[in-house]
Formats: sequence, C-alpha cells, structure tokens
Amino acid sequence: MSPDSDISKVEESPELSSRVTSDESVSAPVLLFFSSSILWLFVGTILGLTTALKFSFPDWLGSIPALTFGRIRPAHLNAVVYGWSSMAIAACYIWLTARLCNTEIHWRRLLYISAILWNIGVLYGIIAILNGGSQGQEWLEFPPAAVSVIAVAAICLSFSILRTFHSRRVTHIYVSLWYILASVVWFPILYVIANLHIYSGVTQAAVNWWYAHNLLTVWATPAGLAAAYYFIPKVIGRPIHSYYLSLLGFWSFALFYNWNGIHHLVGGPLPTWLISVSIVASVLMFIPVITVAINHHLTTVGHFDKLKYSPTLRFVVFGAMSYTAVSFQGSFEAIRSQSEITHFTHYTVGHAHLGLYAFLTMILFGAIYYIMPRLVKWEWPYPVLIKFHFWLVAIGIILYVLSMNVGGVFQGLYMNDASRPFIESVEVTKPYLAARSIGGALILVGQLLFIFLFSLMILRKGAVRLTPPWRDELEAATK
Amino acid sequence: MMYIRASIFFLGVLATLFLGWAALTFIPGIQISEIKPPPELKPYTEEQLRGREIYMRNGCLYCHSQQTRPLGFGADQKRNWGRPSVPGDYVYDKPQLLGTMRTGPDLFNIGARQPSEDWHLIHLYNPRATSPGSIMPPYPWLFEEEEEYSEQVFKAQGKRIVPVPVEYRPNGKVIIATDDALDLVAYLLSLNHTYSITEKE
Amino acid sequence: MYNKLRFMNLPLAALILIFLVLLGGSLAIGAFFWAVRNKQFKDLNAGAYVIFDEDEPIGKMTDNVFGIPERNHKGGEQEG
Repeated sequence: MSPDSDISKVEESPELSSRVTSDESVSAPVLLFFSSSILWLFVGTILGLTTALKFSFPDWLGSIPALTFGRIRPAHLNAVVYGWSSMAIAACYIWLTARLCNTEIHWRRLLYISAILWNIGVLYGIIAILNGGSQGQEWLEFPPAAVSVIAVAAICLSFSILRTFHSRRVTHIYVSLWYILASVVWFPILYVIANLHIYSGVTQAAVNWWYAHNLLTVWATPAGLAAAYYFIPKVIGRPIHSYYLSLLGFWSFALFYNWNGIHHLVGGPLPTWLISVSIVASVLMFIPVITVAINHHLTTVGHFDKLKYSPTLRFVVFGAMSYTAVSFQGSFEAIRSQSEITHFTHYTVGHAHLGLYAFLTMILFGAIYYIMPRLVKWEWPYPVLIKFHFWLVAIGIILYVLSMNVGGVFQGLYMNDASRPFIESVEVTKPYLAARSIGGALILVGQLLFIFLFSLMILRKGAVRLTPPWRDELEAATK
Repeated sequence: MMYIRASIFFLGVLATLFLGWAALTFIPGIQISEIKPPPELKPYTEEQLRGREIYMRNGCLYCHSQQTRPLGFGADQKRNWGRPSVPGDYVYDKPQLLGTMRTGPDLFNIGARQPSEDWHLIHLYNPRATSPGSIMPPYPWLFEEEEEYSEQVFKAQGKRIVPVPVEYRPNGKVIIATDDALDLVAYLLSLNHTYSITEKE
Repeated sequence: MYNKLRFMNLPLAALILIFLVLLGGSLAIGAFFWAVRNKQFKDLNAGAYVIFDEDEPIGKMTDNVFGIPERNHKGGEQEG
C-alpha cells in the first residue's frame, strides 16, 4: 500500500465535485485566515503565560512599561479574542458556508481584503495597548483606528458569506448555517455600536458589559455551535438526533442570550431591574443549552468509540461538553448569592477560559484538523503528535479552570470575611495562581506541537500518508 | 418562498439583537441620564484627569474596582470601603473605570482611606515596600533615580523626593517623583465619595 | 449622549419598549403559525440529512486521521 505521489490527480467522480469544488474555492482565503489566526494564537499564548507568571513574580520584567501587567493582560485578551479566535472563526464560517450552500464562495477578493485588514487592525491595536494607548474599557481597548479597520474587515467577511448564501444551491438551510448567518449580521453591528465614543458613567459600564457578553452571543458561541453541529454528525456518519430541537435551541438562544450582559455588574451601581433582568435571562439559558446538549449527546451516544479514530471528534466533543459545563456554571454564577462570592475574583477568569478555550478553542482545533487535509490535499503527518497536542491542552485547560475556580471561591470567601485583612484574600490565591501558570505552560507546549504540525501541512512536508477522500478507493484498489 | 423564509429569519435575528440592546443599554441610559450629579461631587481637575489617563492606560482597572457594594452584599461596608456607590457618583467618569476584579482592594474611596501622598508614591514605586505580600506590579518608570549626594540640590529645586525604604531602592540612589507620578497620586486622592447622597442620585 | 434626547424620558421609553416587545412577540408568534400552516415544519428532520452525500453517506465515518482500521458501526452499516 505505497502512497502515490500524485494522489491529488486521482480522478474524482462527478458526485464528489460539489463538495470538492466548494473546498477548492475557499482554499486560499481559509488558509490565509487559519495561518494568521495561529500566529496570533502563538503571540496571545506567550502574552498570556507571561501575564500569569507575573502573578507569582510581580517584579519580573517590572521596569519595562510595555510589559507591565496592566498592558500585557489586555494585549493577551485582544490577541486571543480578535486575533486567534476571530480569524479562525472567519475561516470556519467561509468553509462551512461554501459546503452548506453547495456552491463556491462568492466575492472571494473581499475575503483576502478582510484577512489582511484584520491582521493589520489587530497588530496595530496590540502595539497601541503595549505602548500605553489602551482605551480603558475591557474587551474594547483597541484605539479607533484599529477598530475601524477590523470593522471593515468584518463587514467584508459578512458580505461574502451573505452573497454566497444568496446564490445557494440547496433548498434546505442546515442548522449550522443559521448560526453563521445570524453571526455575520450581528457581529459588525455590535462591534460598531459598542466602540462609539459617546458613552460615559455607569451607562458606559452597561454598554461595556452588554458588548463583552454579547460578543459571546453573536460571535464565539454561534461559531462553536455551528462547528459542533456540523462536525459531530459528519465525522460519525449519523444525522443530528432531533432537528426540531435544533430549531428550539437556536431561537431560544437568540432571544435569551442577548439579555445576559449586565450579570457582569451584579451588586453594582445600576438600576436593580436591569441587573435582575440579566440574571433571569442568564438562568433561562438552561433551555437552549440543555437542548443543544441533548442533541449532541444523543447523536454521539453509542459511538464514543469513534473518538479513537478522529482528532476532530475528540476536540469537538470535548468542546461541546465544555459548552454545557461553562453555560451551567454561568447560569449559577449570575445568581446574586453566588455572584456575591465569586464576582471580582479569579473565578470569573476561570469561567472565561472554560468558555473561550475549553469550548471555543478546542472546537476550532477540531475544525482545523478536519478542514486542512481537505484543502491542502495532504494528511496530517505524525498523528502521535496530535495525541500529545490533545492531551497537553486538555489537561492544561482543566488544571487552569479548576485552579482558578477553586482559588476564586476561597478568594471571594476571604474577601467577604471582614475579620480577615484584605491581603489574606490575595495570599490564599497564590498556590492556585501558580497551578494556573503550570496549566498555561502545558497549553503552550501542546500548541507548539500544533503549530509545528500545521506548518508541515501548509508546506506539505512530513511523512506521507494517505489523504481523504481517496483513501478508501485506494485501500479498496490495493487489497 | 425562500425569500419569505429568509426575510423572516433575518428580521428575527436583528430584532433579538436590538431588543437586548434597547433593554440593556438604551432604556437604562435614559433612566440614568435623568439623574442629577450630587452637588458635593466635583468634576476632575486637569491634574487629576492626567492622572486618570495614566491609571487607565496602565490597566489599573484589571486588578482594582471602583464600586462599593451595599450592606449585606459582600463585606464592602464592613471593611469601611465607603457607602454603597450610586450612578450619580460616576457622572464625570469618561471612560468609566468600575472594574470587575479585586486582586487588589476597591479604590472608590481610597482618597479618604489613605490620604498620604508619600504612601501612594512609595507604593507605586514598589508595592512591596508598603504592603508585604502584595503582588501588584511596580511602576518605576513613573520615577527618576538620581544620585543620593544631590539630594539637597533636588530639594532646593522643589522636586518631590519619595521616602522609599533603603532596602527597596538601588544603592546610593534617591527616588524622585515625576509629574506623571504626582498626577496619578492626585487622581487617587481625588477618589473620595464619602459625601452623602439623596434618593434621587 | 442621552442628554440630547430631550423628548425622551423613562416612562415614555419603557412604554415604547413594552410596545415593541409585544409587537415583536406577536409577529414572532404569527410567523410561527404561518410556518406551521405553510408546512415549513413538515418533515423538518429531513434537514439533518443534507450534510451527507453519495460518497460520504450515513453510516460511514469521514475522518480517520489516526489510521485505525475501521470496524463495523454498531448498526452494522459499514462498507469499504
């Protein structure tokens, strides 16, 4: 069964052509977005690990203004949110839209412009933050120049996706596409409104946290769910368990999740009705979350052995389970009696990473593992490294989240105990902060393996292995 | 038919976003704009505003909050961090710096709680010089380090010498506060919301 | 910014919001009933099948990066 060097020239049967044509049409922009996103993942992770270590060694690099905690922390957040996550999300959206519309991607030139502008915007923004130019709002630190560039990039992406949808050659719109279409319409609107410099006082706080949470609503979660809804059934070879549930899940998600934002300000100087409304909406999220969980679980149940075969399935199932976990956690966190303890503590940071890493990033890894071979027509070399990648980042993020959640609860309890001096709430977190740094280091190492593998794929190097979808034909031919 | 379904879809999508926007930001914004600023709250001076910029741009908000919670909710009141903050307290805050982390203590009334300029200057130079166990980063670039023997000269020039304990500064040097440090401290000392408020604020 | 909206006050804004919610809710319920009447929900489950095709049909795994020899599906629908 010797690999053939001109595998890519194997004749494709006519039935393949639609799926393959879609893949080929998106190849260049998707590779551009993925490559950029992975570069930002590297930068963002280095920034993140440095930030984490500074909790344990506060004087480390302490005389360099650009590396002070208060600057590299937002630089980390913006790099992983607007650099890594956003650009990988864009790539997934492009690839999924072409496939699910059964057509080539349209207005491809807009996608090249989008990728280039997105990179420029994020780069400029990160440098501005490190240079002391942050706008001072969490998740909205980028200066207007960077924001404008990214907004244009996002609009270009949306136009291409919507134009492709307009020319779709399907009668039915698959559930993943609902999330994608909603997302590309929502995101630019949200991004522009929140970045206007017209707010002040506590109203600005309301806008800030409406935005930050809604970014998850309109961008991060739809992307993770769109990918999970596609890859789980596609890899296993079973349709989604209940399509009716998908419909209920989508609309309850759209309705409730948009109202969550002010749960970031429980106990704060805002109208009580406003805070209560967000808490109620946060608890109502059980409905869409349980719906999605049932759907994914019942699709996978009986087929968990498939995780042996497919890295995509491992990463995506891990991510989908994390989605359920982080959502349940969030619903509880919003309740006043819980928020009293965990608000203002590292617990929140643990929650954020459970969502953005254990859920979104793991699913994005799974998507990349599936999409890349089909674009570059090369199979992942050295699969044992993929296993190391998975286990290192899985253990790393679990350690991260557990240490921050447990440490955060202690921090909150000590903070709320007036008989203890405040410094004790700091002291009690120190071992947990150290554990978090270890988790972060494991994540960095796992990701370095991933970057290595990705580079091999782009260059089509490494041990030659059979590529899908010709593998089965070749196996059959050589038996 | 396809167009009807698609239109309904996109309309619904836009509606859910705007409903949330209206309920969470627009309506509260109107409600809050009807609030009169408390008469004892003064707008920031130029110096305080410069200091506020420095606070903002160096990310102090990622560890410090500026909102005091009501009695029975957390220990803010028991710790004497100040009466519960109200929307009127923040009318001159652009941008708002409410913060969502308390790696360090709340600063809403730090000007009342810690009125010593020297303490703040030393603390900013190296937090561990005033607060053992602190994990706050140091801000040495807000200061200048000069040779000790010129101390009398600096005093004569009216420069502000910071009494940093000898074990926390480099050998044979004195620490002088730059204007940035003084502005930042001016801002911190302005954080004093101990005036009383009426219902309307 | 809100100071410029002089005509707008809280009771008026709340009233508009409630009106919009009621309007939106009625439209949503109306759209739902329209969809039911127009058989949009008939055979909705068919939508779950669109991601499969002749070469990647139901019952066949489409990803085996770890290159493990595939056994039959528990449903026994495996074919080479």
